[in-house]
Amino acid sequence: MEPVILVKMKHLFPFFLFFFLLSAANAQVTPRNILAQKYSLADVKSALIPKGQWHPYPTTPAAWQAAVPDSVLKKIIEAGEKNRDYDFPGISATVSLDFVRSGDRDRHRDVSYGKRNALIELILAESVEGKGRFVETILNGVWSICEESFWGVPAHISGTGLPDVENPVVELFSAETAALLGMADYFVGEQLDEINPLVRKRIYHETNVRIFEPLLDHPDRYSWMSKTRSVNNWNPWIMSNWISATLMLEKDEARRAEMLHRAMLGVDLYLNGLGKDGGCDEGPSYWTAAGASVYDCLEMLGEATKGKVNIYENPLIKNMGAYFYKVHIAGSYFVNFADADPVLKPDGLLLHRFGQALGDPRMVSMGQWAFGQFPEVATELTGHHRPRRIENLLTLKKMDDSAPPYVPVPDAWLSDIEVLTARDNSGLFLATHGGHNAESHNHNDVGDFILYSNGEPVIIDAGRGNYTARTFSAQRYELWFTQSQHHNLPIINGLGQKAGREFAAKDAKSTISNKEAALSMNIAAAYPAEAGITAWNRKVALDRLKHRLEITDDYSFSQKPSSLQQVFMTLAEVETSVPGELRLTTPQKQNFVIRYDPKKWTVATEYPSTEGMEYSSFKTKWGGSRVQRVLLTNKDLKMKDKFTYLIERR
Amino acid sequence: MKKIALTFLFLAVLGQTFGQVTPRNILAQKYSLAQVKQALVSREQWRPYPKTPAEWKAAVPDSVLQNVIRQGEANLAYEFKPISASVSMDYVRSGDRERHGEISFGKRNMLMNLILAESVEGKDRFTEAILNGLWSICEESYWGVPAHISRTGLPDVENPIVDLFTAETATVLAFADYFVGEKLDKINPLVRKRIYHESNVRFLFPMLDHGNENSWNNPTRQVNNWNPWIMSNWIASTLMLEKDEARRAEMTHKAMLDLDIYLNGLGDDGGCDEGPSYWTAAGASVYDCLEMLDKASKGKVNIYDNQLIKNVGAYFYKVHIDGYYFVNFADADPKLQPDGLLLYRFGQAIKDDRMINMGRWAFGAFPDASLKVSGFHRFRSVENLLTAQKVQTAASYDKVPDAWLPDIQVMTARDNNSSTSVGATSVGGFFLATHGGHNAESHNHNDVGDFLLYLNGEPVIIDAGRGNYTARTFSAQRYELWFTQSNYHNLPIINGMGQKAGREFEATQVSSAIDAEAATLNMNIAAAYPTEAGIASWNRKVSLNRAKNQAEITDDYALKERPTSLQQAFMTVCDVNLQADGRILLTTPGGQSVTLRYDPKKWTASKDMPSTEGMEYRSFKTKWDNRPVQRILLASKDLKVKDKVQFVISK
Repeated sequence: MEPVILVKMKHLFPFFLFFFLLSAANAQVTPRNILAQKYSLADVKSALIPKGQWHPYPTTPAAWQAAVPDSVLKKIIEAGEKNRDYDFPGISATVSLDFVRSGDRDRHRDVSYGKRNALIELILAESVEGKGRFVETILNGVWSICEESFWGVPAHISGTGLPDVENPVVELFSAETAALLGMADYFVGEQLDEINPLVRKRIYHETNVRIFEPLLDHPDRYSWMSKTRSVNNWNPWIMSNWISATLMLEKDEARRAEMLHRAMLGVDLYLNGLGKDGGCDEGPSYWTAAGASVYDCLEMLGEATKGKVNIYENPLIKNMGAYFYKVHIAGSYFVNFADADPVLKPDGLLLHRFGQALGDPRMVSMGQWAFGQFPEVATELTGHHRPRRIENLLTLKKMDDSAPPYVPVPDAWLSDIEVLTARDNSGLFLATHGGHNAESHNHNDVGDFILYSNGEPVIIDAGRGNYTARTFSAQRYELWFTQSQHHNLPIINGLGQKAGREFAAKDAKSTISNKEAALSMNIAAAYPAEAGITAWNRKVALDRLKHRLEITDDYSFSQKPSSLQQVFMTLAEVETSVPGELRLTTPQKQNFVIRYDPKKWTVATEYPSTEGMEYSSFKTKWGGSRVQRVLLTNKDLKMKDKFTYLIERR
Repeated sequence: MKKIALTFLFLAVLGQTFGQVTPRNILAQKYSLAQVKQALVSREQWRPYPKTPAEWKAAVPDSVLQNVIRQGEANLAYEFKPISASVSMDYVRSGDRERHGEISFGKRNMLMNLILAESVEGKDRFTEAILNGLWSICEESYWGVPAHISRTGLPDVENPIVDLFTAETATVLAFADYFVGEKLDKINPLVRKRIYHESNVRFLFPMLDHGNENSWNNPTRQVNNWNPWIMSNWIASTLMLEKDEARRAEMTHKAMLDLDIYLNGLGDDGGCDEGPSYWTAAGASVYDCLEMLDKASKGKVNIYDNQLIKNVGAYFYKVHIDGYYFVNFADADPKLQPDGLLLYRFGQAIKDDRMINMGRWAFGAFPDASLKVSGFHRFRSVENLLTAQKVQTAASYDKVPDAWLPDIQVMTARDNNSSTSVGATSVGGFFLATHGGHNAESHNHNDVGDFLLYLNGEPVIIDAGRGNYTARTFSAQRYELWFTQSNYHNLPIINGMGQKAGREFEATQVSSAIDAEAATLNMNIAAAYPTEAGIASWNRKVSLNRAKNQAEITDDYALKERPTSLQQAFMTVCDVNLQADGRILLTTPGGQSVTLRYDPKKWTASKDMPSTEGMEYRSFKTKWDNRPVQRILLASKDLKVKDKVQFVISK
C-alpha cells in the first residue's frame, strides 16, 4: 500500500553527523543521574566480568553455527570473500582537506567508511569460518587504520582542517573505529598474535591514545559531555562505542571498571537532558543513534555485569523507547520534523530486544513487524553501531511469531518536545508540534504539521538536503529546507521564523479525545519582533468524526501587516482553478482538498530548488516525486483575523 | 638507485665488534657544547641552500634546474601509497626486501623531486603533491626498512628504532620544511607541526635520549658506515627543524661526539674496511657532517687539518682501479660511479689535489652520479647542485701508483703504464690489489690473502663481489652463500676446507714492500683457516712485478701432516682456455690475452661456474656486464706436506 522509498546504506551515514553545532544549547537539564545514583564505581568493579572471561559473542565456527542461522552465516562468509583482495588505501591530505576546501564529505567517507565496512566483514567471516583465509587481509586493514592520522571525519575537526595528532579529538567515528578494532582483537586476536603480537599491542595503543585517554582525561572538552546543557545523540553513540571498546580491549581491570563507570556517568548526561516524555527532539532517524544507543549501552552493561546494571524499570527509559513508535506513521514513514528523514527502515531485531528489556509489548510487536518488513536492515553487517549488529545476528534464532500483531498508537502527546501524533479510523495521520527553534538539527518549524493518508504523504515536512560544510555553518538558514517559509507555516510581513531557543511556541496545549486530537499553541514568539505579531494562536486538529484536518490561525498584529502568506508543502499535483479549493492528487491517486476562503487569499505554486550540492537529494528523497510549495497570499491584510483551512478527502 | 639503496644496508648485524678503538675524540677534544652553542647559526638564519627561483638561477646551471623541474613534473600525479603490513612482513617471512623498498624509497625519492622542483620553479604547481607525500610518510608506522627490525617483524610504534632510513626520512621532511615550509603553512600550519612531531618522536628524541644504546653508536666499539650516515642526517634535520636553539646546539654537539665514535674506530690509515662503495656512506658521510658543521658554525668547527680526516678522504682514490672499477673486497661492489662533485669539495676541504682532480675527472665521466636528486645523502645532492658550475671537468687524473693501508692491510699497485684514466675508459697496464686483514671485517667475506688483478682497466682475476641482499645475507646462514666463502676467492682450499669467519681468523706477519721494481704483500694466512685444516704456516706473497709486468703469487706452506686434498681457486670473468702445459689462457671481454702459469707436474686444472640462480645469486647474471663468473680450480697432484708453489699471471 504505502510507497517504499529505497535508501542506500551509504546515504544513511551522514544523517547523524555534526550535531554539536546545533545542539539545543539552552535545553533544560534535569540532574536525574539515573545510573550514578544507582551504581557506584565499587558496584561496577565487583560486578564486572573480567576481560579474560568476557565472551559476549561467539568466537568459534561451532559457536556461530549454534547461535546464528546457516543462511546468515553463509552470507557473512560471502561478504568476507568479496573483500579478500581489498586493498586498504590511505586517506590523503587532499581528501582530508576536502571538507574545509569545498565542503565535500563524500570522497573521505568513501575511503574511510569503505575500509571499516570491509574490515568488519572480513573479521566476521574469519570468526564464522575459522580457516584463516581472511586473516592476512584483516591484518592489513587493522594496520592501515592504525596508521590513519585521524579516525573520524574532517567535518568534525573543521576548526583545524587536518588533525593535530598531538591532540586527538574524540568524535563519533573515532569512537566507532575503536569499537571496530576492539572487535578485531576480540574475534581474531589470537590469529593476529600468531602473525605478530605487535598487532594487538598496536590496536590497544592507538585506541588508548585516541579514545581512552582523552575520554578519561578531559571529557569536559566536548560539548556532548556537558554537565550543564542538554546533549544529543553524540553522547550515547560515543558512550556505546567506549563501553564496547573498553570491555574488549582494556586489560587493566581497575581501569576497565573505571572507564565503564565513567561511561555510565556519561550516559546519565544524555538522559538528564531529556524531557520526561523521553522524546527525541532530533527525530526518529536520529533516535536510532540516540535512544537506541542508550539501549546499546544498557545491553552491554547488563551483560558485562551479569545483570547487575539494569535501569529498564525507569519510566524515562521506557518513554525513550516508546518514543519511536509514537512517531511512526506507517511502513517506512516516520514523523520527520527538523533534519530527520521521512523514510526510515526500522531495525526490527533491535526493537524486539529493546521492547523485551522494557517489557513494552507494543515495541516487541513493532520489532516483529519491522523485522518481517525489513529483514535486511536488521542483518546488515556494514555500517555503524557494530555491537548492535552482532547482537542482531544473535537475536535471529530467538525471533518467533508469538507476539501479537503490531498496532500503531492511536495518538501520542510528547509534552516536553511538544509533539502530537494522532490517527483516525479512516487512515488519516496527523503530526504537529510546538517546541522551539534551537532543537538539535533544528529547522525553523514551530507550529508545523504533516498529514498522511493510508500511509501516503499528503502535506509534508520536506525534510533535509545533503549534508555539506554549509549545513552546520552560520549559513544553515540560507538553505530553503531549514526555513519556516518552506514549512506549513505563515510568512508574516515577508518574514519567517528565526533560529534560537527564544523563538518558541507558547501555551502549547494538546487535547485528545475520540472526537478530536488537537494541539493549540501561540507561535508568535517564533518570529522576530520585526514581524510585529502580538499573538498567533494556531490550532491544528484532526477531526476523527469528520475525517479531516482543521488548521485555525487566530492572530493579531500591533499594526496592519504589509504582507501575509500561508505555505503548504506537498508532493501531490495541485489544481488551483476552483476558487477556495486546492485540489491535491497524490502520487497514489488519493484526492484531497485544502479549503480556504477565496475572498481572503490568492494562490500560487512553485517548486523549491533541487539543484546544487545541498539540494540534489530532493530529486530522489520522496520516491521521485517533486516537492511543491503552495503559497496563499492574503488580500485584505487585517490587523486581526481568524483563518481556517480544512483538509479532507474529495 | 634501487640497487644502490640496497647496497648499504644492515651493517649493524655485521659490525666489527673486535676492531680496535683509539680514543682520539677529535671533535670532542676540540669543541665544547658551549662553543657550539655560541658559534651555531640560528635556525632563523640557517640558509645553506637557495630558497627562491632567483637564488637557484644564480647558483645552478639552467640545464640542471630544467632537469629538476622535469623530474618534479614527472611525479606530479604520483600516488603516495601506504606500506601494508603484508609488505612490511615480507622480510621476516620470505626475506624479500624489494616490495618494501620500491614503495618506501620510491615515495621519498618522488617527494624530494617534488620539493626541489617547487623550490626551483616557485609556481606552487607541486605543493599539493608535496603535502600528500609528507602526510603519507608521516602516517607510516615505520620510516626504516623491515630488515632493520627483523626481531620484531613489524615496528613497535611505542618504541621507535632509529635506522639509516629513519634518519634519511627525517631529512626529507626537514627539506620539505626548509624549501616549501611557508607554502605548507598556507595550506595548514599543522603540516609543519606534524613534520616536527614525527621527526622528533622517531629520530631526534631517541638519538638524544638513548642514541648510544645502538650498536652503531656504541662508544666502546668500532662502528661503521651507519654511524656517520645517521649522524649526517641527524645534523641536517636538527639544523633545519629544531626551533629550540639550546636543544639544537645540544643535538648538534652530541652528533659531533657520536661521530667521534666512528673516527675512533678507524686505523690511522683512514681505510674503510667495508670497501669503496661503502665509503660513499662512511668517509663521505663524515665529510657531509663536517661540511654542515662548518657552515652552521661559520667555519668554527673545522678538522680538515687532521691527518686522519685527510686519510679518510684519500682512501677512496687509493682503491680506485680505473673507470668505474674499484677494489671490491668483502661486500663491496666492483663497479661504482664516483660522485665527482663530492670528491671535488672533499678534496678542497682537505687540500688534496689528487682528490680534487679525481673529482674533476669523475664529474666529467659520470655527471649523473653527482647531479641526480633522488637517492640518499640528499644534502650532498643539494650541495652538488650548488657545486656544479664551479667545477671544470678533466679528462683524466693522476692516479696513485701504489698504496699501502697498514691498518686494513690493503695494498694496491699498478705497473708503470697504468696511472692515467681517460674519460670513463682506461689505458695502462696491470693493477693489483691484495689484502691481509681478518674475517670479522664489516660486511666480511672470508677472504684473507685474496687478490684481484686488472689489465688496462679490465677485470682479469676478480673478487666476485656479493649477491642480492636478503634475510639470509646477514643471518647465521651468511657463510652458506658461495660468494662469502674463501673457496670462491683466489685462495687455497686446504683439506677441503675454507677459511672461517671471526676476528681470530686473520693474516699474521703481514708486511708490504713497494719500490720501482715490485709491489709486494707478504702474509701468513694459516690462522685464517680452522685448526682442522692442519696448517702450520701458509706464507703467501702477492706481488706485482713491475719489471716483468706480471703478477706473482707464491705460496710457501707447511702442513702438520700430508693433506688429503689441496686446491687453489682463481675467479674470473674472462674466457678460460685450459691448456695441458701449465698455462691457462684468459681472454678479457675486451679481447686482451692473459696467461696464468702453473706447474703442470703439481696441478691439474678444471673450471666450474658458481650458481646464478635464486634470490641471492641472480645479480651475478648482470653484475659483470652479463659475463658469467667462472672458477678455475687447480688441484694438487702430489699433496706434499710442505712445499712452495707459484702462479704467474702475465700478458
